[in-house]
Amino acid sequence: MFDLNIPLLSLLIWTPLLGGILLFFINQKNDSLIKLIGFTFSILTFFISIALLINFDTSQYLLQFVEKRSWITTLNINYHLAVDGFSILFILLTTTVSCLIILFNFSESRQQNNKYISLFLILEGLILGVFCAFDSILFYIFFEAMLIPLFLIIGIWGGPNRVYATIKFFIYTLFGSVLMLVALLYLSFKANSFYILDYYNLALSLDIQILLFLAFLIAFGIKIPMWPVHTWLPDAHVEAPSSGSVILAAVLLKVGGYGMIRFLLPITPDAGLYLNSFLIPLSLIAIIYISFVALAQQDMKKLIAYSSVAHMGFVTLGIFLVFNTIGQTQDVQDISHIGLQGSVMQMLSHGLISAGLFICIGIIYSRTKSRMIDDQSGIGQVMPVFSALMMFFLLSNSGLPGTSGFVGEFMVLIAAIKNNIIYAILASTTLVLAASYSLWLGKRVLFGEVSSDIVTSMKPLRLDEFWPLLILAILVILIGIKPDILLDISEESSLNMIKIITSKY
Amino acid sequence: MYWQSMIIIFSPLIGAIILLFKNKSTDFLSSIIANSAIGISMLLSLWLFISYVSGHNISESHLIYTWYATSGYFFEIGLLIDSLTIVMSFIVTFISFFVHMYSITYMKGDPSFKRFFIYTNFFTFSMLFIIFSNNFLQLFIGWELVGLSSYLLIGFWYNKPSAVSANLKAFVVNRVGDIGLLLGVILILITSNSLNYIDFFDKLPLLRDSTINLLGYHIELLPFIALLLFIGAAAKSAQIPLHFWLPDSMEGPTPISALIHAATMVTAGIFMVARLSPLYDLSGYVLDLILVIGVSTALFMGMVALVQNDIKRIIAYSTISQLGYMTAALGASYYSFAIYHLLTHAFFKALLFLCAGSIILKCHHEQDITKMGGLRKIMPITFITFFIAGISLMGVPSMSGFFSKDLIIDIFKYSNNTFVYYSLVLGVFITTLYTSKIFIKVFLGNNQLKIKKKLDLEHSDALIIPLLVLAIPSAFIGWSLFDGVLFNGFFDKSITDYTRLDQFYILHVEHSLSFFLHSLTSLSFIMIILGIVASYFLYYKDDGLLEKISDKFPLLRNILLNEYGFTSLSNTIIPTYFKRLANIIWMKSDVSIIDNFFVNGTANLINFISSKARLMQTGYLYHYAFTMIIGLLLFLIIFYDF
Repeated sequence: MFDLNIPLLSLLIWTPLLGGILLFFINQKNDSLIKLIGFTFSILTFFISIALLINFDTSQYLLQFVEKRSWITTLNINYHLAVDGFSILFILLTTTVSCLIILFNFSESRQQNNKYISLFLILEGLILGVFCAFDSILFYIFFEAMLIPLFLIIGIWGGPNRVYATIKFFIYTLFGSVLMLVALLYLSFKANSFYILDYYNLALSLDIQILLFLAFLIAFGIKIPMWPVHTWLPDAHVEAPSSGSVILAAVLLKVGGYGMIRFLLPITPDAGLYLNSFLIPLSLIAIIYISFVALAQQDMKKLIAYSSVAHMGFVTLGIFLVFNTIGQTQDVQDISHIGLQGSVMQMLSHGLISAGLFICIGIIYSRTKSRMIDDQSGIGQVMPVFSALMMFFLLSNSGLPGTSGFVGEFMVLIAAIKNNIIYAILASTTLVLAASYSLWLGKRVLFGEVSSDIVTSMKPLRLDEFWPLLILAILVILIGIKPDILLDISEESSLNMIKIITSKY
Repeated sequence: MYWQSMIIIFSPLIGAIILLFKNKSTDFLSSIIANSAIGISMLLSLWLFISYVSGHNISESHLIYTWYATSGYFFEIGLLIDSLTIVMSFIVTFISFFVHMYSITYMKGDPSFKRFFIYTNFFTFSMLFIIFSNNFLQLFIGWELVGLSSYLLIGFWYNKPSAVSANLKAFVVNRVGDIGLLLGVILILITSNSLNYIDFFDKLPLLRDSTINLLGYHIELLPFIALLLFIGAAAKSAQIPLHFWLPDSMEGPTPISALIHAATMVTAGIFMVARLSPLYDLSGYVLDLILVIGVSTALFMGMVALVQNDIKRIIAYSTISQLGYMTAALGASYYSFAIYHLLTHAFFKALLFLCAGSIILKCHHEQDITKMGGLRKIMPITFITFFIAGISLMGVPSMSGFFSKDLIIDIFKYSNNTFVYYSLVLGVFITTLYTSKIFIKVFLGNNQLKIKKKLDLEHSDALIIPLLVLAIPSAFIGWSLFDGVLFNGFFDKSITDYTRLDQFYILHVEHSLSFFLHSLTSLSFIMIILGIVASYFLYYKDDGLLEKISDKFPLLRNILLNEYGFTSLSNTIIPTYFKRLANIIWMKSDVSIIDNFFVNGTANLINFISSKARLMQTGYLYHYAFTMIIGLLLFLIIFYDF
């Protein structure tokens, strides 16, 4: 179909970056041109990612579309891009959500819109870089650089308390990644290479592994975020503009989970097994404790932010359970593979659902200028189509079967019950807790009597608000009905990951 | 059989999707689309049912599509077609069709007319999805989807605060049950490596002696799975202690109460246990637990109905109580009897609700039966059909309800389980009391609401036809399927209790006619007569006897009025403590300890240290010189080799 000599991955990363740079030079008065350029570049990136998907061979786990160019020759650092079954799924998530973000609020005009859209395109390019980079220094650079555009987005277009939130967000996540840099440098000296897959073959002692593990865990645990390093997320969400929240929840958090799969699992499995009696409780706390915190929220965005943390608890649970396969039978390995696939699924699904929910909250906020739950009631009577869509996302958020929200949780629970039925019993309380906070939010905001004149005078849903939501909803249903369209893509990579971990020792 | 079943299942879904995307649709067109979608399913189901009853009784399993396949594990969406499937599909589509027809008139003029039919069509699809399932994953998916439909329909009038509280409660309580169901399903997957019913049943002998480690205790696997699954069934089928969502669900439109909360969805739990009869046969003490829950629900929830005055709530409690009878039969391992009672109950209870619906419409949405009266002349058809359904519910010999309910009571009579037997017989007395109470207060006596008779009989044909049609099975289906179907090996291929059934037939039934004649001298018939006599004095002769009795037992009355405390528990105590706990965790732990102490605390600490350290940068040259000299001296002291 496509000539595979085309450097698709470079195209994928550089298209949005170039688009972003181009937008800086467009006069900010020329609003329609800005939007046109922004949309063209993001849809172009999306098509490139589709081209990747079409040419991706799902029957093998080897890296594909490899691009390797010498970059810093003296240190043997390379511009090394590739994808495997995991990264391509996250690439698709990133390009889809970015496209929808540009589409969302298409008719809204904003101060310095050229820079706003430009930053989103740059952010997209950098995130795509994280998922494609297989040289650890390149990975690190993308990983750090993507903080900057989001920092600016929240810092410039954010809410009243944005300075506090941005600094907290920036320092918190930067603190994590510095330790990761140390770990990456250590590994590169050991392996005498910066190629990430070379790290997988290193034989490391348990003590070293534990140190490396903690370094990576802090970096990715803050990013994803895990309990108890999650408090930056609600603050960042509350202050971020709607589109910023969408990209933060839908894509940025997934970098943490991706990093765990890429680094924690294959490089430091023994440390994982050793520390698991402490890691799994952290995940369970995230699921149960954070769900209770979500139940207490008065601010819609905070509620969804906390719900994100709870959902990420399932992701980390599925990933950490993989460590328990070491030295176990084939049967346990198969189940761990289901759990790992479940974690990936949970991340993708949460990407779509949280995007939908933050767009919904953005739509309410743009009309009532309030995010407080108590300020709105009975929106269902004024905006029925919007309410149906928001209700749909809330139900998906509570893990309703037939939507993507169910698939990941179900698969992680399978792995949990195999390890210890108590884990599964504790984790399954999410069925009640997630339903409680999600539907209670729906009940208070969408149902009931119309509370105020502000609600009565809410404008109907615009097309540029409707289509992103509808597309997300269709994807959520599609994945929920037939999850193997995505699961098959990462199937071989996941099996290979389990093999690496178990065959190593 | 594959294509017929596919059309039965997906025709309602297609109807719902067409309605969803049909932007401008008149009410008439919407109702045509919705009704014909169900109509197709109904006709095909009826055809399959007749062909199964007339001997073409086969069992087959099909794959529809693969949900996910990975090494060693296979998740599928499929079909299992056998006599149990067919009888359930007949019940669901038949009642759904006539409820749809009834709703055309009942919902006329509602601004969300189309939305109503989208929901009901979707509900019918979800229910059929469960019934035709051949594996546990699909069972769970369908299970939650019917819960969703129920949620949406209870809260159909979403600007009514009581409705949106009731539907949240229903969903969350059902989710509690779903935890059990989901854990049970996953345990099945990892112990038998398959989610397919038939694969699992084949592996049961191997799993018989396995145990599972729960907090150091070794628990037998199969009873544990059976217990987990039953938690799901108890929530869906409104058994104590997860029953309290059902009375509140009466906030939904009345046709929905007939369809979902009486005839079909709430029986899903009964259906599931019957479907998994090979598992429950091996689950020992769990069956006893099921029996106890069933009997107590049958008796105690029937008693609550006595003190209610809202016509829909009385019938709702009656539904819970009748589901208790079915559960009791399950607990005694007579699954087919439970399904048989499910069948007859579906018809007469749906009919009772539809009658209640037309009464409520006629009385301008008044639901308190003490304010009604004398409607027999004004609504003659409702009067007659309600009478038929009512005596069927009581179990008057020859009616449908009699054949199914007396079978259940007779199980315990002949197995010498006296306590259960007398409880269920007492339940008959109570059933008779509350049914007669509605009947007397609504149809007899004076026309208190001054409702005028109109020329159009009740309302229109769409309202009357469903009543008349449902009255036929309410009266006759119990007897007509008794010898030739139930006891003629109809469920042989799908339910495991056939040997027990054959023995029961030979020893205690002989023939339907002798069963009927025999019952005229039975204790339950005496109870019905006693109940009618008692209700004559209590409810018809207005001489204050009822008040005297209830004043004599104030404690009992209060307990019943509070529904054994479940009302306050579910409406105030649990939500309040839940919210309080959530607030404590959030404010005390998350905000105070984690965020303020650790996160911002670290930042403040650094700020503090730097503010002190900053003081050293005074800018005076002699300060710096002095510091340098001190530093040098310190170096000398440290490194000087004394």
